[in-house]
Order: sequence, then C-alpha cells, then structure tokens
Amino acid sequence: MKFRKKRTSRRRPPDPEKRQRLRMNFLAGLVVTCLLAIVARAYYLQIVKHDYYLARQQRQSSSTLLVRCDRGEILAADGRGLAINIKGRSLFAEPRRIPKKEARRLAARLAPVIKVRSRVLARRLQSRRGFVWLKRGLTPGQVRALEPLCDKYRGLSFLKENRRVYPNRELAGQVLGFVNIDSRGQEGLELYYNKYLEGRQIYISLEHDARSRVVDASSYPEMKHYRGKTLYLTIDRNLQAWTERELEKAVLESRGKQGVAVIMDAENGAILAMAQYPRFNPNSKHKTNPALWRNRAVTDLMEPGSTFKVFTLVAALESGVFKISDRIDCENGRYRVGRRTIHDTHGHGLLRLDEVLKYSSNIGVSKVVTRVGPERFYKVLRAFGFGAKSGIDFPHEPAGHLRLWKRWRAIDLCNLAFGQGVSLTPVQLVTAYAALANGGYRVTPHLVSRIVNSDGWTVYEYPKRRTAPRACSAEVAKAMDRALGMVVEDGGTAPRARVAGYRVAGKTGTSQKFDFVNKCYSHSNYWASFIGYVDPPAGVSRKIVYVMVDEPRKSIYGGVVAAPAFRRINQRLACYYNYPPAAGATHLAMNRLEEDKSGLSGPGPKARKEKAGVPAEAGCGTENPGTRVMPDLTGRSIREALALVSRYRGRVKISGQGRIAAQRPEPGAELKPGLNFFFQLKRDI
Amino acid sequence: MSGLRPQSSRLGLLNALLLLLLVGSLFFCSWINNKAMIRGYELSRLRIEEKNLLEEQDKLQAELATLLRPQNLARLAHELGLKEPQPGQKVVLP
Repeated sequence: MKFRKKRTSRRRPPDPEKRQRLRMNFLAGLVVTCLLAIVARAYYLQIVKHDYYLARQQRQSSSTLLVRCDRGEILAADGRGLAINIKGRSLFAEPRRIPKKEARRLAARLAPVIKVRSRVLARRLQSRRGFVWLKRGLTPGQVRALEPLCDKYRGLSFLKENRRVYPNRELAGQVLGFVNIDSRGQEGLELYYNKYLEGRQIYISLEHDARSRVVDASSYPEMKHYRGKTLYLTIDRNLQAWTERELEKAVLESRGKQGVAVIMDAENGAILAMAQYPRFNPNSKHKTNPALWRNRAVTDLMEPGSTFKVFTLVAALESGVFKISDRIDCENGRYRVGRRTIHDTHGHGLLRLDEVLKYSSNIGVSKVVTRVGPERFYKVLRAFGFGAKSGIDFPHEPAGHLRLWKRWRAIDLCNLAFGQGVSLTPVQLVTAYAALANGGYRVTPHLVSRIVNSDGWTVYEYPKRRTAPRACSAEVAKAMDRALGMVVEDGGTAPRARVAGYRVAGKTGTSQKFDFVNKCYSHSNYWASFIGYVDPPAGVSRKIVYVMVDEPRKSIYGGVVAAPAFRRINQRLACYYNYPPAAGATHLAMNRLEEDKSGLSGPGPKARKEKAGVPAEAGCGTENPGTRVMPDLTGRSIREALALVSRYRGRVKISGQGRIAAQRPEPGAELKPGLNFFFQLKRDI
Repeated sequence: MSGLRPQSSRLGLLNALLLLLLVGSLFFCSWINNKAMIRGYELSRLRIEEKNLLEEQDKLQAELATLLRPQNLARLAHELGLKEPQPGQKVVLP
C-alpha cells in the first residue's frame, strides 16, 4: 500500500509574514498612490492653474485702496503751524442697504443736524447708487449727534478724511488761502504751492478674511514718506499779528473801507508780514464774502500817489540833470501845464530837491520830470520794476500798468511824476522802496523761505545772497534816504510817523481813486498811505513798512491816516528786533533813568543840564561809560538796574526775587566797561 | 523567514513615520497659518490704534496751536494786566 500523502497535508499553511508583507506593500502602494494623487493635484492647482486661482483668491480676500497721503504743512518763520492737517469725518450712505420706507424718515432726522435740506437728502437716500455722500467735513458736534443714527441704520456710516485747519484763524488768512474738500489748493499759497503741498496718491493692497477684517497689515507702506512737502514761510507770526491789529485800528479810526499793510526785509525781499483788513478766516471760508479771499497786497492795482515822487527825484539825479541842492520854483501852489492846472496843498516858493519831497510838491516834481524827459524817466521806472510783475510767489499777481513813454502827453508826464496814471500793487511799491533802502539793488519779494520734504531734506531754499540788478546807484539811494528822512521832520508831511528814539525815512501818499462812472478822478475817494523804514543798527537790514487805508472818511491824508499806524508798527518792530535807540534820543522810556530826580548817573554838568530841562546831547549809547560811578540802586527794580548796567557789557548775576536789596559794586564805585555786577533781590524792600 | 521580520517592521515603522510626518506637517502648517492670522489681526488692530493716537495727537496739536496764537496770547496777557513793552523798556543782557 502506497502511502499517499494527504493533499491537505502537502499544503503549506499560509505564511503570516508574507501576508503581512503583502498587506503592508498594498498599504504602502495605496499611500504612495494617494500621495502621488495629492502631488499631482497640487501640481495641477499650483502650477497649471496657478494664475487662475491666484486671481480668484485675490478677488476674494484682498482689496486695493487708493489713498491720498497727507498734505504738507505750512509753517511760519518760527516753525509754528499756520496750516496743518487733522482727520475729520464725513457722512455717507449706502442707499441699497436702507429700506425705501425708512429713507424719508431718516432724511427728516438728518436734515437739521447736517444742515442739508430734507428733500435733497431723501433723494440721495432713495437713489440706486451703492454710495452717496451726505455731508463732508462734519464738526465734532455733528459727529456726536449722528452717532446714534449710524448705530441704528446699517447703510449710514462715517468716513475719515483729511481736514485742513488754520489754527491761527484770521492770521494771514488771505496769504495762506485755502483748499477745497478734496484738499486741493484754491487760493493763496495753498494754490501757488499746491504741487509741492499735495500728498501723493498711492495704492495699498490689503488682505482680509471672510468678515472683511484686515488680516495682514504688514504690507502697509510708511505713509509719511509720501506726504506733501512742508513750506517754511518768511512770515513772522508776531509781526503779522501786530501789523493786523494796528492796521485794523487805523482803518477803524479813519472810518476807512479797508486797508493793507506789508513789512518787507529790504535786503532779500522776504515778506515778514502781509496784513489786510477786513480779515478772513480760511477755516470758515464759505461764511465770508468771496471778495475777502483776495490778497489785495498782491492782486489789486492802485495808484501810488505821492509815494511815487521819490522815483521822479531818482530819475532827476540818475540822469544827471539835477543835483540834490538844486532849487525849483514851486509857483506858490498853482502851475499851468497846457490846459490843466496842477495844485499843491500848500503854496511854496523856491525849494531844494529834497524839500520838494519833504513838502510833497506836485508842482516841484512836475517841473523836474519835464526837464528830465519822458524816455529817461521811463527807463528809471522800468529799472525799479514798475509796469511788470514783481515775481512774488503768489498767484494772480498782475503786471503794473505803465504806458510806453512815447504815448505820454505833457500832462501825462506831470501826472506820472506825482503818481497818477500809473498803477501798481502794494507789493510792487514796497519792492521798489526796498531797492532804495538797500543801496539800489532790486530784490524779488517772496513768502516762502524753504521747502522741506517728508524725510526732512530741504528741497528748496531761497538764496540768502543773490546777484541782483541795480535799479539806481548807491549815491542816489543815499541821497533819497536823506530826503525821505526829511519827510518826517517838523514841517514835513508826516511828523506823525516819527518813532521816538529812531531815525525814520518815508513818504506819504494821498492818491485820488479813479471814478469809472464819471470817468474822472474822484474828489471823495482816496487811498491814504505811508511807506518807509526805521534805521536799524549797523549790519541789520532795513524793514520796509507800508500802510494803506482805502477810502478813509475822517481824513484823507496819508500823513494823518496811515503814518500813526506806521509809527506804532515800527515801535513794536524796533522793540522786537532789539534796535538800540539812535543817538540824541532823550525822550525814550529808557532814558527816564537819566531824567530821574534821584540821579542814577554821577553828579556832573550833564546831569544838572538834564534836570534843568535841557535835552541830553546823546543817549546811553554815546556817553562815555568810563566817567560814571555806580549809583545806589537799593529798592529799585531789576529792570532799571539792567538798563543802566547793560551799556557796560559786563556779566550780571542776579539772586532772589523782588527789588534790589544789595549790590556789587558798591554805590560810588567807578564804572568801567567789562565790569561784573551782582544784585541781591528781596521781596519786602 | 525570520530575516524578513525586522525588514517589514522597519518598513512599517518608516511608513508610520512618514504618515506622522505628513500629518505633523499639516498640523504645523495650519498652526503656523493660524498664528500668522492672529498676529495679523493684532497688527492691524495696533495699526488702527496707532492711527487713532496719531489723529488724536494732531487734534491736540491743532488745539495747542489755536491756544498759542498771538492774538489769543495778547488777549490773555491784557486780561492778566500785562502791558506791551515800550521801546527802551526791553533790556538785552550782555
């Protein structure tokens, strides 16, 4: 019997390891297949369809905003803001999100708050547009009143916008101008320098989630790099404020219509103050008459009147036809030219050329100009910039009106000699006077001294020294300076322009306005003006001050109406710039110390003379300090003591508060330059 | 046969590790993404806060400038009984 192995016994039992390996291989294959599928899908999505999905993702989760960066600031000479930016809020609506039934009711509630008619608002709210402005530039009060409504209505909301603010309000309002609701310059310096001031428009890309929350803010650019440039003006805020106040006083006292005042540095043409009355607040431009927006000092033409006579005399001297000592017969106040008669306010006989200016003789300058001749006179006037723009950095400056000399008749020539038949702006006149004051060089008036970009780099600076063409010779300018100084002397037309303690040179102007209805010069409407300067200490530039009152009613003369304002402005100016009083000034407050009965100065013939009422021959600046002795200052104020010791140019040490209790040097000690002083102050002295 | 065991277990371990790495990477990626989102929200909140503070600063500076305008100072000085100095009253120390 053959032993047959059972078939079953020959089968090997299934190998668990092999099965496990198979399962593992299968699983691994599955995972690899899955991974390959994922990789393939990822390749398809990331590489093949990259652009499509990227665009789709950007549409859904990112947005691009167009942002206009902040407008540059306008700063005064001292760096204080004249025009700055703050964020204001504006009210907008999304009409599609406001139920139609609610629109009328909402409009009725909004109207009294934002001061827009209810009907207009209802029409906007019922429109089919996605976005409508309801009111831009809301006040803080309006924002507070509207907040509950914005919380209640989903389609009503605020949007923050840049708002231009002029913190000094009316100060230099016409000079600064203003911007529109979109922060674009509309008037004044805001308009002229708009391209520098305007912030750049940039696109910002934002990533946001499904709830419109910004996810990635890291892509925000530094906005300050794109903001507009900053302007530094030549305007001095303090001078501007005083000038405006004094001008207002002058206009109100003379019952004038309006007025203009300008202060200019004669050396470089920098405008230090440019005032106008009535004033204008750029913050509330829409509440004021648009006629007030205009800066009359630059944009309005006027006839200069007698202030022009000085240029006639310049022509006389420059041409060599006259010397300053030559005498002119002023015909006792009446002089016939052709069929016309020229009058003087007061009759005069023979007058020197400088006296013609002092007494402001129309006849005198008419005779002078007739001998000089029209061509030479015209050339001198053109050299001073008349009949052309001054070049000031301000919009809408007209060229002055000066006809070509060939078209002048004899009477026209005479009229021109005393400032009729020629028109110019106040700035053009001040610029011409600046040339006389600085020794004959023409200057370009300017309001902006430098422009600084957002990174702090100066991109423009007005050159401190520039080669300027000559308008007249230095000798002629000096002669005119002396002649202008005579105008404020006794008997001149403007003794009221004298500033105690300082030498003043200037000229009055009383010019008739042209009556365009009757086509002749008016006998009731005048421009009363005064232009001049105070002599500063050596090395300091002269400051030309011009004051003009339009249609004064109380008096018409520049010497009465404008000269007092000129004096007051210059008093402050001298104090502000620390001008030491001129030699011979005995009537200063400063010299009260010398006039004091207690006699701060040592005993001597000079002090005795002063006590007897004889004017001191010189002020503190000219006296020889070596002859003085230290007075007893016990019980006096430190101000009085400082006034005394300042001339010795020594060191001063002060201790305590109140009045002087002790002093060093002791009373009676000899005072010498360079001495050191010590004052002990106490309250109960 | 006994030689295959460690090989297959090593393969299994490798697969498990790969899977773990994959899952771990996924978790890590989502965690990173989540953190980035949170930081992004925080950053944007801080940006808004910074912007608001700068706006507030601008407003305060405008208010300060309004209070310091020369006309206002002159009015306040007048109310306090101060007078403008006359020429000569002002003394410059040497």
